[in-house]
Amino acid sequence: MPIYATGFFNGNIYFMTGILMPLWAIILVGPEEPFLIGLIVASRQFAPVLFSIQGGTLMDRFGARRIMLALGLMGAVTMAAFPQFPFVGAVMLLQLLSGFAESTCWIGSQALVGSVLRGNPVYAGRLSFFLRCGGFAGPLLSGYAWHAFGPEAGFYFMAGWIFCGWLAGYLVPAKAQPSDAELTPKPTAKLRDLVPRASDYIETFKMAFIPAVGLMAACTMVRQTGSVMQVSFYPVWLNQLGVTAFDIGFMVGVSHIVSAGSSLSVGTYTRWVREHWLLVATIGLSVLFTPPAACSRRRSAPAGRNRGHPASDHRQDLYLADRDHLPARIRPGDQHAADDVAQHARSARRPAGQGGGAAGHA
Amino acid sequence: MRAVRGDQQGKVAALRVTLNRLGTVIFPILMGAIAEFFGLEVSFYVVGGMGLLALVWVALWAAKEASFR
Repeated sequence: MPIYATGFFNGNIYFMTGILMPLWAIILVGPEEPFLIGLIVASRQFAPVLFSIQGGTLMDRFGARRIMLALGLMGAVTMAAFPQFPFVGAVMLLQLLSGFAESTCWIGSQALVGSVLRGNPVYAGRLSFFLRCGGFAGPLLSGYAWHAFGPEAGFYFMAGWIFCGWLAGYLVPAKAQPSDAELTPKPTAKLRDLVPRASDYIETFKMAFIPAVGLMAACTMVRQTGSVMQVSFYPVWLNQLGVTAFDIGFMVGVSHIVSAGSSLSVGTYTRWVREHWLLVATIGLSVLFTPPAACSRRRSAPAGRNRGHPASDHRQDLYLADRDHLPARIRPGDQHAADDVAQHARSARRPAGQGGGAAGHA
Repeated sequence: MRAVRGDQQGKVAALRVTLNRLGTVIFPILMGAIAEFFGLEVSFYVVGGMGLLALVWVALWAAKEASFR
């Protein structure tokens, strides 16, 4: 069970921060600074881009679990520190540390789980199920914490979530970790081992010339054009329309439930479509539908009850609950929710004992 | 993952994560820059259009690649 719990907690931090960080960036710099918002959101990935390969190499040398447990604690602490340092420079620094901890823990979790479960499809299916359950619950609960109790609660909830992932990794029985012994040919860490080696990077990037790996690499980058929207400016866009963090979290959670079904049906599809074409086709659909899904809301929103774009509205309903079924507080044009968030932000930015002032842009 | 040896799985996974996160660095900054000058809505369409163009290129390459036939 702890192994499944690592997937439940560690595999979805990326999506949870993808909701909270853009909203936090809006509060700090205001929606009129989209470039700075993009920079704040992107800064989370600087360290993972540069050091993921080094992180994997360190796991091979010192054991995945050891690295994962060390960085898990760092991830929890840095996440809890966000509301304490509501300044752009500090947020970007915390993003660097927190992002590196999160990505390395996720790689470590996969390595640990993969080696312990030995690729057994039944166990892997169960892990995938728990991963998707976490993908539903995590964004939903973090969004609720943010909306109901303010940004601080959102970040503290995230810190607690990351700590639970750390705890799950810690509780994996020692007998179930043969991989650590296998992956730890040199148990004592030396300082020079922490320095990235060019040869490791060159060897890794050379693999991109293997056609299957190259296709995977290219599709990964293409897929990001669509998925990055959903974890960067899509929450910004929705927030400007008055959609709350809770509802954004709910939508992200629902997408994970849908993904769970899709994952289970891949085997069926590959009977009719070759794997690489299925990959290209599904990524094409995801990229194709994301921008219209985001922007069609704007066209219908100012018109109030105008239903002049039924096809567009139908597509929106795949991503968003129908506006008529949503509570009044999140209807487009209603500024209550945005004001609510701004009020929380002012509270977060106000030093202890200070009565007022310090208004944010949001 | 089946295309590489067992002792290379970690590096392939790291490569995928690196590229995944590289996209997460590039595209928000690009979207932010486009939104700064042309508005948020335009940035969605521009980045989405870039993705589709890149996908067409990938599909053409995959169609020509002998190992996929």
